[in-house]
Parts: sequence; structure tokens; C-alpha cells
Amino acid sequence: MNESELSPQTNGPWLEIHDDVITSDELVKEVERRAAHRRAELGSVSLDFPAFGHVSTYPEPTGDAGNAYLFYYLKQANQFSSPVVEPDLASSPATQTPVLGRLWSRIRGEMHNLVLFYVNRSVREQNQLNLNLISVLNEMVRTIQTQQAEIDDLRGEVRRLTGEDEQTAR
Amino acid sequence: MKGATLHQFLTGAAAGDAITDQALLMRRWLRDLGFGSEIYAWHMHRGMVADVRPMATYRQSSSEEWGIYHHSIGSEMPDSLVHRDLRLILVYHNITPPEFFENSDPLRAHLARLGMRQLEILRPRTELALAVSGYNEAELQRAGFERTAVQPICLPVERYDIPLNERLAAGLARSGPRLLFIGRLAPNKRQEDLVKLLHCLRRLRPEAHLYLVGDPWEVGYDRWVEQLAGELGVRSGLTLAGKVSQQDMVTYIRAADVYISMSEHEGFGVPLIESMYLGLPVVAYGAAAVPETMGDAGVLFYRKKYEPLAELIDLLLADDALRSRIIEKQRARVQAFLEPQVRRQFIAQLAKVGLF
Repeated sequence: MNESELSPQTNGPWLEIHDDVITSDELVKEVERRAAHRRAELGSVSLDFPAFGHVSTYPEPTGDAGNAYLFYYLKQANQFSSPVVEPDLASSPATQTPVLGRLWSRIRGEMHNLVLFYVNRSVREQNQLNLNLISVLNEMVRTIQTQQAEIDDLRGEVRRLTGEDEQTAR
Repeated sequence: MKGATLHQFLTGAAAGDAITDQALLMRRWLRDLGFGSEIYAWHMHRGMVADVRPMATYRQSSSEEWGIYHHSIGSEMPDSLVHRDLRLILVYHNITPPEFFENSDPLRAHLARLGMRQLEILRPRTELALAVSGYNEAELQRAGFERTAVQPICLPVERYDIPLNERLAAGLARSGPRLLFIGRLAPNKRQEDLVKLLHCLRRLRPEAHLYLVGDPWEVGYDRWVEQLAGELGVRSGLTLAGKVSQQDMVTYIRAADVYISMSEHEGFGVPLIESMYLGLPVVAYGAAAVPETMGDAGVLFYRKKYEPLAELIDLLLADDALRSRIIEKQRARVQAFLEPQVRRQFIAQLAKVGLF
């Protein structure tokens, strides 16, 4: 994510200042002029930055019928990458018992939260690893798809040129 | 209303937390008005024992008709309140959308979704829904609340007009131009984008230093931000200060040259007005309630164009006249969030429901 853009609430300049001396438009022009000058002077700066926790940065590639296994397992991985531990506590008949029921319910609730606390800590770490791996897989598959499309185009071009050669030879 | 009881209820209470601070301020106002008023919290930090009571100790008195509930995340508190015979004033501080945590923190995402669903069960019990910004009020209206109003966050100036931590101030003075952001280290706050900006700024100002003050709240995010800074070659220009005392926070603001926010979700943005009050120029991404909080002060941006933003900061560091005009405008803006005015608004809200 490099130049993320907020849904523009105005069609106006991307910088907003309320000042008696400089307008927003003038400020935009000034900082962009300086940035262009700086780039010319110092060279361009790499703005190809990653973003935290965003598998969606690389949308899940859509499958093609030619490689069913790859896309089946990739889809599975994308679907189950973040197991959510829902802290729902099922009701128990014992909690309906007068007086003791409330105490029992409270103890159960506290125990439940304690377990969730530790489980979620571990789950979060594992999720992060899963997501990093799936991000890599998604991006690799997208790269493969692009390369495959280029290879197909080149093959077509080779066939076309070969055909032309054969016709010329005849 | 002498003798009447009006308690406040929070999901969590901690020192330095914006919601807890507001509740403490409201309690003072309520007590000044003659109400018997306490704060009850479901979870509370040990340091809050003197000021806040655990919810488990709450007993509704027979004459108690009203309660104030501060809502910001899903918890057991709404269920506990709606099953009592209480008419509620809801103070809505906004819920960070679950999408920000979906991929990294399933429990946090779940609690955010739960909090949104709980607005449904709170609605029939709520007589008046107060939002800390117009942005939040619009969310309440979309959730079906009919009687809503804006009750902004109040800045208690006595907590900011305090002596600095001289030792910290001396240490900070040794670093280069200082950029500051205050907020929990969380994906919605986008501290990572500040590191990217630092990367561009250091081409112009090699000594520039970014201070991130805030709780390392989201597991792994702090490490990720540090790692990114390392990869971009700016690790030496980054300090993750963690959660700090009020005195240290004031020292950081006083020592900084520019407050910069890349946050993509703020229901209000308390550090923006803290910086405005303490005379620090604010440059902020205009997301969610940020433009409303900033008003006509500071500088807002709507696109994260890192190189031109680095030039803007360079300009703010060099142009004293521009800097002074921004600070002056910010000082005027922050008056809207100071006690005399906000307290009057609060009393007017109580009058709307016949409590004053």
C-alpha cells in the first residue's frame, strides 16, 4: 500500500489548510514542486511498502480449470487461515440453581475467559504466521498467472511467425 | 438534583484511558450538581481502585432510575445493564471496525462485532444517546437511535499545565526534529505509515526522529513496525516509548516539533486536541471524525503521498511564520473542548431528559 487514498469528501486539494497567507491549493503546489525537485536532485525513493495484516493486499487469485489441485488447496488455505475463537459460553442447567447457580455461572465464566486468554494469545501468533504464508502463496500464484499469460501470448506469437515462415517457404 | 443517584458504567477503566478520564470528569460535574455518583467498571486496572468500583459490587438502589453507560467495545456490561430497571444515557465513543483486526486478532474483531450488535439491545433502554463527535452521532442514527446529541470530549487543562519531566526533556532535546504520534499501537492507527513517512523525511532531514507513544496493544504489531523501520533503514530514528505517565506525555508533546497522525479510524482523536492545547502543530490524515475534531485548525491531508508530506513537514520545521499561524488557529479551536463550555453542554443534555 503506497499512496492510500481516503474516499475524497471533497473534490478539492488533497491538503487542507485554513490560513490567511497560503491556500490549500498553493500549499499542494508548493509541496509537490519541492518533492519533484527533490526527486530530480536525489533520485527516486522506493515507495513499495508492505501493509500489516493484509492478505487482501494481494487478493486471492481466481482459479483456472487447468490446475484444479493448486486452486482447491489455495482456496482452502485462504478460507481457514484465521480460526476465530468465539468466546461464547453455552448455558448449563446447573447455572439455573438458586444462589449456587449464580456462583457456579461466575466461576465457569472466569475459567472460560482464562482459557480463552491463553488460547487466543497463541492463536494470534499462529494466525500471523498463516497469513504471512498465505500472502506469499497468493502473490506467487498471481505472479505465475501473469507469467503464464505472457508465455501463452509468446507461444501464440511463435506459432503465428512459424506459420508465416512456412507459407513464405512454400 | 440534590440527593438523586446517577452512576456511570464502563467496560474497562485504566489510568490515561480517554474514556476513563471522561467518566472521572463527568463524575466531578455530577457530584458538583448534587448527584450521588460513582463509576463502575467490568474490568479495571489495579491503579484505579481508589476511583472506580468493580461492577460486581454494584447494587441498584430502589430510588435509582438512571445510569450513564460509556460504550466502545462489546462486553458483558450491556447485558448486565439492560436486565436492570434503568433508563440509560448512552455515551458512544465509537467502535473500531472489526476489519482492522480481522486478519491479526480474532478476539478483538469478535468484540468489535459484538459491540456493534449490542447497540441493538441498548437502544430500547436508551433515553438519550450522546456521541463524542458528529461522526459518531451519525453511526448512532444509522443504528436506529432517535434521540441523539453530540457531547464532545473535554480536556481538563489542569492535567496539562504541569511541570515537565526535565530528564526526559533533556534527552529528547538531543535528537533531531521530533515527530510525535500518541495512540495505542494498533493497525487502525497506522503507525506503520508514519515509519514510511519517516523514511522519506530522513532524505531531507537525516536527524529526524519519530516518537510513538502508546500501549503496545495489538500483539505483534509493535514488532512489525520496528521490523519495517529496520527494513527501511530508519530504525535509529524510531522510538517506541510505550505507555507513559501524564507528565511524560506532556513532556513529549512540549518537546516535539510536529504532531503527525496517519490514523484511519478515530471516533474523536484526543491527542489531536492535547497537541493543539500545548502549542504543537498538527498534521493529520482526514479519516473518520478527525476533520471534525480539527475544525479549521492544523493541516489535514486526504491522500498519503509520502514524499510531498515529508516536504510539508520540512516546510513546517523551517517556516516559523506558518508554524505560528497554525499554532494560533489551533489554540482558538481547542477552546471548544475546554471545561467551561463542555460542562455547560453536559448540563444541557441532562436537562433534556429532565435530570436537571
